[in-house]
Amino acid sequence: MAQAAGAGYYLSENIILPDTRTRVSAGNHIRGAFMNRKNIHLTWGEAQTNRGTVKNLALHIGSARSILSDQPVGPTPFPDHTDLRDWDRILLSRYKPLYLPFCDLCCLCTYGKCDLSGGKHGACGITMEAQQSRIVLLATCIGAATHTSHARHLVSHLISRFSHRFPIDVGESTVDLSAPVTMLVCGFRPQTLGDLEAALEYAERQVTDLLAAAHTGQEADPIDFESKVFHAGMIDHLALEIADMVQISAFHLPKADPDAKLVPLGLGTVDAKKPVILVIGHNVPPAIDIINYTRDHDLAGSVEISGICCTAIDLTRYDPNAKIIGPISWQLRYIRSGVPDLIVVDEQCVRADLLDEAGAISVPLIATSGKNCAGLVDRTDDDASAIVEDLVSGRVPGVLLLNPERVGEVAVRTALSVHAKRIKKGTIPNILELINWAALCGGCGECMRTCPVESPIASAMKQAAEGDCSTLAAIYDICIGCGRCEDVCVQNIPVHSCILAAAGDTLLNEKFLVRAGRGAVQDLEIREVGGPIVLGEIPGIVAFVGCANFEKGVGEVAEMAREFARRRYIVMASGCSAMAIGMYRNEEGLTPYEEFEGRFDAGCIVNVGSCVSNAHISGAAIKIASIFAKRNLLGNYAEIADYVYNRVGAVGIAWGAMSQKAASIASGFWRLGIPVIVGPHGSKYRRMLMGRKDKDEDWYVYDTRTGEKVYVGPVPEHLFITAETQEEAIVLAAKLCMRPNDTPRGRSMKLTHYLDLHKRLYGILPDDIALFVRSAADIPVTMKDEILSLLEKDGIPERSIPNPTMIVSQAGGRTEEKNGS
Amino acid sequence: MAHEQAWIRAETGGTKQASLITNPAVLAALIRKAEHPVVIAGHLVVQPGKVGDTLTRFIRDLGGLKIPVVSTAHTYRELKERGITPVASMGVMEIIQRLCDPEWKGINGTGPHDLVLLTGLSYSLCSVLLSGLKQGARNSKTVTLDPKYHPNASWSMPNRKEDAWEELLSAVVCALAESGKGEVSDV
Ligand code: SF4
Ligand code: SF4
Ligand code: SF4
Repeated sequence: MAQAAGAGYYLSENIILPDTRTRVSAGNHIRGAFMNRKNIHLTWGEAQTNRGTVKNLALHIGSARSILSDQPVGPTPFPDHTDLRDWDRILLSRYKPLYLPFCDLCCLCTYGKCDLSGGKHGACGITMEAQQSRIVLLATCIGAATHTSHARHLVSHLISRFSHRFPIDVGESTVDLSAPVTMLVCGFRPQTLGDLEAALEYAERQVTDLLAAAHTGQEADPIDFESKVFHAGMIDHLALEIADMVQISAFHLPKADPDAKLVPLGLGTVDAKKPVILVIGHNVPPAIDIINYTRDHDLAGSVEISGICCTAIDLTRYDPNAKIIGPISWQLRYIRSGVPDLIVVDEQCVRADLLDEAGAISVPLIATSGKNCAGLVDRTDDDASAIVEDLVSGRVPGVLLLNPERVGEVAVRTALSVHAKRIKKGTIPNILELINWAALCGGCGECMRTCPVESPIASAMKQAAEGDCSTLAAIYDICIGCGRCEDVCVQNIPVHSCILAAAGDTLLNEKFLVRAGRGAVQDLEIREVGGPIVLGEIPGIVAFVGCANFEKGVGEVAEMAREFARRRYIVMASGCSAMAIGMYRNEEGLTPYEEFEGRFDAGCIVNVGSCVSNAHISGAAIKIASIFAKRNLLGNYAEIADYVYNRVGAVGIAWGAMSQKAASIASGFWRLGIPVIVGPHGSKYRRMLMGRKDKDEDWYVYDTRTGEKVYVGPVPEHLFITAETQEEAIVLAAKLCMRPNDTPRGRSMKLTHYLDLHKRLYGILPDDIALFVRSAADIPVTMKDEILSLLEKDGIPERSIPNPTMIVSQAGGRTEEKNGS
Repeated sequence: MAHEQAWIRAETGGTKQASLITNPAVLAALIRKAEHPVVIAGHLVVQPGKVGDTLTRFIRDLGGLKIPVVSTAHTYRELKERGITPVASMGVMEIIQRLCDPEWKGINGTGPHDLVLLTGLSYSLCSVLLSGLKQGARNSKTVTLDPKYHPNASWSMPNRKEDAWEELLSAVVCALAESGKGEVSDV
């Protein structure tokens, strides 16, 4: 063996390559060696061994890993938060926090409660601004911890099943650059499952450090809190990438496949006559072992395996015959339909009251994650038949099983037996019962005073009592299924169930298609579209991500996605938003996934997969810098983020973002300079990061050709902002795709979309056109006269297009001023 | 002192709760006394139905006072069709951000806004925006015109049935018309 490259070695005790007994003699042409706190990392450009020459070998304590490329390791492999603080401050000097506290108080320690309003300090000395940023840090730490823990569970589980040496393969021959986030952050390319342990250890340590900073009497400065928020986001994307890489590799999920199968979506696709298992959550191994058990026991096809949320998405990536019911907001409605015979939950975004809901339809529940034990007895080591008997007889409402294979067996056997003896009955009233319930309503409005979508329940009940259920039925489309209306009803009316009853067969008739999550973007796809994206000729990448806390139902997400796909943006999607896009049919009866192809290309809709697949969206942006621009990725975060920020016109829309995970996913995009728009409920994340287009001084970059500072206009104008309506989100997204690097042709195309959308949706042209027109060549031809007359007063500018950077050291060395910090 | 609870009960606000506008003369006096008031009109102002119509009429009736109106989201066109010409169309977050900047000279460049009248936004969004203004725009008073009590405002309409609320707003317009009368001491 002449080179270690490509093999992937796991060395826990010494620097001997175990499968060859090759001893690496260090010291030959050491290219880089660096220390990061307790870890020592060494990179050899070339080392002579007794078996040949080892090239590009990176080592750090406890393991050795090979790097295929010739890239040198950049300045920040395994960075601590402080290593990237300067980059964060560059961004945060443009995008300052706008604080939107939930209330005046801080209640985090026993000094408090402290009233921080009106400029007052807490007993610990903290200000309202710092406290809000601290809350955002806590949210993003929870999110990053959740994904890191998820990734750790997957890696440990898969190593125990397949060994440390199991190769990582996310795209066979189509993906050479398989781990862009890990390479960027950690400075090495993982080849095997075992290689990922180092990255996970790093992530775990970082999340702990960040969480510690939120302790009373630690960080005080709001901007330093925000910088830590960015760090949590970066770690989050690392964890996302690890989790999806290993599950794609080990479970053979679609490997960067633009033609991934169309899979069924909606309750109407489930054959309720069969035994039906419902899986809910995000961590797919137990659900996969349910499928495996049916396959191994000749039961495939005779049991319906259906799912809600990301476990469902990942399950259909494994087996296209599995059924996705819908996003998280479908939990109550599906269970109350009575269709499932068994509920299996894993982790994240699982309702906390499912044991009660399961009991109400007389089905058992199996919890499968140590993070969500649901108060159930751990029966992992018990005899499977005994567990099945207890569940089927109803002796226990549910069990905790921490071994996925055991879940597979128990779940299938239980579902078969429950189905055999149970008459499927839900808790949704029939129409007569509904009218009787409605007659009890006194119109007090308490339900409306808790409803997040402000639905007109009281008047709808009044109508329903008189036999007209149409208004109540219409609430179905906007209801997020939180169930809060029921808890507050003074008449104990099952309000949510009444809405489901009024909607009749709507739920049962939901039949759609969604393209199974394809995973990564191919290197070839990046090669083909990298240029048009960076030059602005593909107007942008718009990614629909996050949860289902929508103010006006799932339809808006589909409409937005179609708008951008028709305009030949690259549309990406993941998680509940990917499902929401699928729950729509056009005039011809086609779902968006049938209407648009799944390539990473203009005019396509790319479903990458579940929450953890979001790493392929950030990964695609990073890969553009590497594959198209040939920038070094390894441990080179700030330079790559600067590249993405200035050149890749990408924007995220998290229209129903609800969770802490959504916060950390968003913050991972922010640190890469990718703006995120949230829906109205997203304002409750408590702070925005917004630019000021009216302050010219904020919008200068360095031109690397001259080292001069050059005004480029407010592109992109914001990093994190709430849009009040779908229309605003569409216009904002088009605007936020502009970048300093756009060529005149690219800018003119981006402006065409921005102006056209603004005019169509707002009825006027925007008042900030002048900020985006750098010269006459930027003006869209189709609107030339109109724009020229608008710009007449100040004349047409003649600004050159720089080779932009925000980092002074990238600016050719002619600039002395340190930017941003 | 307020004797009202947040419309969405969980949005309890903070240590200081909005004062209630039950007397039309109070709002009339607030508006009249303000040197640089501004109306922020969200998309629900142009929503079909009684609430939208009442708000449209109220904002139009303020026209004589030359209070600048900022339309948010995609509200501009329909507002114009309803006879109101906003001075600017801005994202609601953007106008709130500007209002929180003590250096900002206002939408007309004539000086910081000392009175911000918010209306036509979904309740939760409006609630956090008011909280943002409460903390970040300490020299501005905020008023909500919607028929739902908002603790985070300086002054808020009470939770009212639509008819009673419409009457209250009409009375405010009358009180404004009778300029000089209806002064209230607690403003
Ligand atoms: S379940 Fe639906 S109707 Fe009831 S409060 Fe929640 S969103 Fe509103
Ligand atoms: S809380 Fe109950 S009684 Fe009151 S309006 Fe709502 S449904 Fe009717
Ligand atoms: S705020 Fe969120 S986490 Fe807390 S109870 Fe409500 S839904 Fe649950």
